[in-house]
Amino acid sequence: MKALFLADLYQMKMHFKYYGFFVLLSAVIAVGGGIGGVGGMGMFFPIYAVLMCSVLGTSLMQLDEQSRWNIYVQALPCSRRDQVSSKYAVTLACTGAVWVLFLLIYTALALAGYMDWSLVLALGELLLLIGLLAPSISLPPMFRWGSAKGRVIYVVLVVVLASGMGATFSAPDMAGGAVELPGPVAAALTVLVPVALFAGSWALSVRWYEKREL
Amino acid sequence: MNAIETHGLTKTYGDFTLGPLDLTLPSGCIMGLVGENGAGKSTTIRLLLGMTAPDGGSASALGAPAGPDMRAVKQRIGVVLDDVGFPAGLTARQIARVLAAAYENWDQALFERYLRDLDIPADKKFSALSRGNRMKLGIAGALSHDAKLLVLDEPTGGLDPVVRDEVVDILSEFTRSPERSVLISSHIVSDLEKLCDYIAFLHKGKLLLCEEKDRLLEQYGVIQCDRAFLDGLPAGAVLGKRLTPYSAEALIRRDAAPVGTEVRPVTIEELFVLLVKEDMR
Repeated sequence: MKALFLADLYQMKMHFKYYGFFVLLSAVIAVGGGIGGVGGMGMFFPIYAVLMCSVLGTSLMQLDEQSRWNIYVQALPCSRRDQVSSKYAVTLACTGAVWVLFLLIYTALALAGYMDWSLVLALGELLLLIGLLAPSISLPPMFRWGSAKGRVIYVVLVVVLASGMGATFSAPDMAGGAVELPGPVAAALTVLVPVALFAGSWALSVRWYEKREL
Repeated sequence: MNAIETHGLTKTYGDFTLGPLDLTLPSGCIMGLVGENGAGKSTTIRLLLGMTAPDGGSASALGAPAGPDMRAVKQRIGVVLDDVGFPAGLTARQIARVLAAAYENWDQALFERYLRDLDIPADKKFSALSRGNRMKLGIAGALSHDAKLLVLDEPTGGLDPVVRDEVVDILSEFTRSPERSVLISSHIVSDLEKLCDYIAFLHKGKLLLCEEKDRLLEQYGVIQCDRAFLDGLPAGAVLGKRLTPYSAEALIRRDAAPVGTEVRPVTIEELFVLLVKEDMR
């Protein structure tokens, strides 16, 4: 898998330089927004940065298909599981790095008195949820149907999920806060559920990709 | 040990069926897989490398059954596919680092020697290389990890004659060591004629012949005659023929030719063309 991970890193360096620039810009805006008390600015850019990093794996897959590297790899001493794992590892590494960066910024802002600790925790959970949920949904269809069809299916899934969540949370009993968990339990669930989804998504991608006729 | 074996290997894609295929490549030999476009050469190679699952039969490479997990044996197999598919944005140097991470026996000095000898730009993006340089880079990669079996799918297709000659020279050098085997597919038969010990003819997914090249050349010959003479030959003697309004040219078994018949040597290309034409009739 090391070889594939290295190839992915080179591809990222070549094609996604602007991601790094955008993350740095987002970090500056997050700091500025936090100090200036402009919460919306401080939240939008970090979320967008994490979201961008979380779809890196799918973008790399598209590049692999264009150059037929996804086929060539199979002639090397690498398994399909390795191919899947490399994309998940790259996604996790990039999303994780961005997540840690913003968590450090928020922590620094909280220590300096510009932000509540409860908000730091909430933002940390939110970024983690978005960062892991997006690739968990987007990658399996890509491995099952290829990047072109996979992207369409991903968009459809997101629309269905968003509509379902919207309908659920706008229901009268939910809007009234009928489901309320103790703080630590909710916090643990917010961390554990995305991690479990990510792991399950990897297993599903491996299973699908191993069966796919290329 | 045989470098490659297939037994009753079959694979169906829509209305195309490959096989059943029975091939054996002894260790230390070079086999040319000859066939027109769409004959099933690439499918055979993909099956041998476990890149696709067969519908029936079995295949093995260097003693290991072909299948989804051939990681260990692929350490000893060098592969060049017809469309060398390295990541477009990577340079030869970066590709070498990727391959070094994949192969335990990667020989960086040897790879760099190939880059120099074959005049491959080391710092140009793969997407910016010519088809000839891409193929040469693929071959350099396949030869730089002490492979015992080299599998090449149309390595000379689309190359100009000078580059083709260079590629043939590299492969000749590789096969000087008796422990190394090569399976090479091509529809450019003249390249294979220079290199191969064994020739396998594939046509529309079926194996027409698989034989030692020298035996093929000994067993078969070409006669030029009139139609009446051709019609008088025993059944089974003629394997293929080319008829014109004035004469006939036929591929025949030398041992079945009537005494005194002038039989000229056949080239592998003629052998293949005449066999395929007979089959299409």
